[in-house]
Amino acid sequence: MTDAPVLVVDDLSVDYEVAAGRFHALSNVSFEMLPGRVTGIVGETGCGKSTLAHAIPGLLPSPPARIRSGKVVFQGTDLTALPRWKLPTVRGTGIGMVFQEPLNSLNPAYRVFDQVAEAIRVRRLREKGAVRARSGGGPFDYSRGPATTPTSTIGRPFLPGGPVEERMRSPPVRSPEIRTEVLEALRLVRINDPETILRLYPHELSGGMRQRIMIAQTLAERPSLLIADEPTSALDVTIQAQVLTLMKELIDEIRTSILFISHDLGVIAEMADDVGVMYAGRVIEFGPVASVFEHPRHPYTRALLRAAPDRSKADGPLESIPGSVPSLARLPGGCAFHPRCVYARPNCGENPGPSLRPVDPADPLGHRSACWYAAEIP
Amino acid sequence: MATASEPAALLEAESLKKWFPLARSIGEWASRRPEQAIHAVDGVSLTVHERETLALIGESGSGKTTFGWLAARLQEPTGGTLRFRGQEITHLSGTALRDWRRKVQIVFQDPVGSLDPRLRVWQIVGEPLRAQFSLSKVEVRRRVAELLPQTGLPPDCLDQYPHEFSGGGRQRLALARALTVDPELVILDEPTSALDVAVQAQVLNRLVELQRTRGLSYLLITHNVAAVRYAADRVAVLYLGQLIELGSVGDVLGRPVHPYSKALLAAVPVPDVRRRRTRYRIQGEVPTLINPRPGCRFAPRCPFVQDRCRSEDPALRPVEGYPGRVVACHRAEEVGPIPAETLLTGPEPGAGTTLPLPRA
Amino acid sequence: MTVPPAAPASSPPSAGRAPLSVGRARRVGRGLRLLYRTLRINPLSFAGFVLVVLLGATGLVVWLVPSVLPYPALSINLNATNLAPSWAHPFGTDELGRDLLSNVLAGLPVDLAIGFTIAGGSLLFGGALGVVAGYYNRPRSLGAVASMVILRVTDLFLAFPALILALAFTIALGRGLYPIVLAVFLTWWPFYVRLARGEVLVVKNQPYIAAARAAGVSEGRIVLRHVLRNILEPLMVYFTLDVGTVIVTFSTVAFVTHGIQYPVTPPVEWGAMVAYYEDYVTYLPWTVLFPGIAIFVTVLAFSLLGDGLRDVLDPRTRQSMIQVGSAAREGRVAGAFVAGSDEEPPGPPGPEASS
Repeated sequence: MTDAPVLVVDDLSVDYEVAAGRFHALSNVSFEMLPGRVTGIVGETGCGKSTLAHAIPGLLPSPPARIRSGKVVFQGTDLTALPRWKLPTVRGTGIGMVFQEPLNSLNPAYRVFDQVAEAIRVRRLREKGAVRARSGGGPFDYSRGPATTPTSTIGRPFLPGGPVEERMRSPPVRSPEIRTEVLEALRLVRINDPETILRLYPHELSGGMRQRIMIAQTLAERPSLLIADEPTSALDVTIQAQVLTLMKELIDEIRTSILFISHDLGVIAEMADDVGVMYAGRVIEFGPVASVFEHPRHPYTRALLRAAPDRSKADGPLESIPGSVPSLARLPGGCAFHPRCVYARPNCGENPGPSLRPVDPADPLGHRSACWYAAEIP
Repeated sequence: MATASEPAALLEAESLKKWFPLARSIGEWASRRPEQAIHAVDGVSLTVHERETLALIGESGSGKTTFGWLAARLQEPTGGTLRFRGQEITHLSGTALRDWRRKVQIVFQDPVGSLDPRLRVWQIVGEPLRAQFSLSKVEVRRRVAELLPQTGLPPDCLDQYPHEFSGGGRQRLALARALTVDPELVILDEPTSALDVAVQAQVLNRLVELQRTRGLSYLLITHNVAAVRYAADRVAVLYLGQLIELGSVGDVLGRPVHPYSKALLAAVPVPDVRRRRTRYRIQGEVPTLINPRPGCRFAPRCPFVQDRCRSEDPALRPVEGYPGRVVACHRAEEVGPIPAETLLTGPEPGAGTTLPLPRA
Repeated sequence: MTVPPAAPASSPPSAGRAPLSVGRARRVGRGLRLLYRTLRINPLSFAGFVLVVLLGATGLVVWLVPSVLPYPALSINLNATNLAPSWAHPFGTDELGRDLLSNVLAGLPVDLAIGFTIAGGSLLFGGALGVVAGYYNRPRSLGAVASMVILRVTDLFLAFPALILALAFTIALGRGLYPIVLAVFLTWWPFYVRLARGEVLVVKNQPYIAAARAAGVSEGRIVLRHVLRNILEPLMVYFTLDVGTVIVTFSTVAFVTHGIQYPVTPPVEWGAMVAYYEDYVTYLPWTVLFPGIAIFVTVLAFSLLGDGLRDVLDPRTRQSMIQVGSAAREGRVAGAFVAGSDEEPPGPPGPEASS
């Protein structure tokens, strides 16, 4: 695929400025997402992966957050340069989000039907041009999934289409038309008896079911980019496996681009096409998942992969990473990982630290690592 | 750790039960509707041997945490008996209970919530000491300062508050607190689930080392299969309040017999890119625990289900070809040889799919 | 993780000295310094803090050394009647030449004492009942019965509007300072039962209570050591806010019932003072105005302080607000040991280092 990237994050740095000081939550994060690919972001608690997820659609609360530098280019538009009031036109139909805790993300006062119908209504209004949308028409393709309204056209940005009376005539939420679409959305996420589920409130659903509703609601807006922030971390393993399977099937059906954020290396290995490894607010390794996981080119990635318990105590102690994650308020100079790195050399602490460089110079957009000695890692 | 001689039993639970009754409305009470209860632990029999780690594994609602609380005598069982070194402790109370608590300690799931935010480190860690023995403040501080390094904490943090510690640090504090009175059995309730992988590895290493140096027994309660594989000797799989499979760690995790054990193992995501884009074939949600219907509790989700499974409770029994293993499944012999990975591939799952069984 | 990451801890204060000594005196000094520094961050609560200290100090001085008053309280001077505020009489005088400033100042210790007595009594009595009602409620136990009785009686009291109830009690108990104090107290304690019980219900289900139980700590000690300690903060905050409210209520009751009224002399309590001078409000407005302002300022001071106190009493917010902020400012965190980090203590390198 030689398509233009759907999202380019370029040198993005975000600070939190609180009374206690300034925290560098993200430092010079750069990567790009190609259409139809799943990009995973993996890292430990506090590495900045959730900040990244919220920074892309401009959802960071400001203050305390402040974008220090960098751009987030979504379908050709720099979101960091957009005025705040225009950002909602991007969210939903442009960038959809699925959060970790679906009980908090679904409005407890509304039934499942209303939650999904609202998303569909917004999308329809935008399609008709009654409401402005900034969606460039992503590769959202239902053709291999359950068919929807064949007339649906996605995203005519800034084009108020048709006469006013035509534009404003969006079907009321209770119309059978919307109802059909809600049922379809629920069937899409493999809910067996959507008619029953429609009438329930979020608290009456199990965790796995809530996450499906959340996904259905987000997908109903047909985003060109879906950001999934730890979507299965609150679920039990067997339920997680079910939801992951569902997402894999949906990926094949709708071919939307997904930014999949997780702390679980196993989940990323199963879901992602490309993966970015984050440490202390930086992306320290990026590349195709097979390459990164099988031949990590950064000492941190390697240590993280080897820390997962995979044997019994009779085989000796587990490998762990010496030291602890540095505080974002006072990051070490140079490579942020060097104080804990077993391969560190004297110049690793010198500024400026390493930035992402291709492992193979012939493939500048392939496997990249932010380590001076990437080639020497066993 | 298979020993030839029968290891001494430390803690024995016999058909332990814990039902939480649901409040009845006046209407229900007047109409004499039978009382409903959540069957959190429904007749679990287990033995923890000396110097071993018995892992209790299961998902939320499996009753594993409730079992831990029962075993620590923090909740009163609805039925069944508990014995410690052959002596019944189900209804201990008063001084006898307090003395017994010296031998059994518990480390809680939530390293934030289980440490009183208003107490300092020496007060938290020294709490069991002060409750059990009349020691002076200085003596308690001395003992705590001695113990902290064993769990990997610096001895000079005595006057700090728990919120000044990271997640791993708090879990070490909780561990130190459990060890102050030199217990024989430590119940570990999800000791690593709040921690990142790297920190988890450090804590697991500590646990194993402490077990070796102090001759401890652990009851390790977790949903983390990898942690069980590393730290446990034997493993008991719980599903909806019942024990469904029990055996040595290598056996159960290597060749699971019960369909649920297989489902659980197959569901664990592994950081292995060669296994990606597999499809998980178990469907359905975990049913409610309120007055469960007879029959195998996994039957509604089981890919190998038969009519019999829906009507008859499977008993825990040894299975031929799997020494040292007990399984609660009617079709254990037939299902046993099917590898867990089968649940990850194959045709598109649909409602009521039944996997074909290999002809014997 | 959208919020900023947990603030890093500064170097442990105990690092330099023997870890086994408790150092109580130093700790108290540190506590006071901390209180001062926390309050300074919020200028409003700092103002409240200063005001309360000022009011308390003045009240104490007036009570102990009445001669500091410009004129003896309630002393009649028929040569200086009905004077508007001036330099000689900043608050003016009344129809018998009594100096209003002296009277208002003399009322300060009285009103503070009333506020603290009623709120404090309610805190102790209501709080204790609330702890019992919240903690001892296992079904089918003696505690459950006691809890139920306490709660139903509390409900009974709370069913009436507080002011009406206080007035009714006053009428039943008779006029005078002490009957009104008792009457307001009788209407006041049920709030503390509710509050304390609610807090106890939250705290008693915290895992650290179970942890203490598993450690073998007796129930009584759990209540004293864990439950009380953790509900103290919200109760203290409420108490501080409440002192002002109590003074207002007391003054209202005193005003409405003319409760502490003497035949000729005005009483030295602000509410009763306002009531006494009520008839003069049109032509001697300062007689009503200044006791009224005194009530207002006192209530405001306690409210502001109460809000600030909420932040001070919680070690978690205190930590993040003060120590980190100052440590970052002073630049002394670099290289300091991070308390309880996941760092292993230095030792022989493990196998992970050699691979």
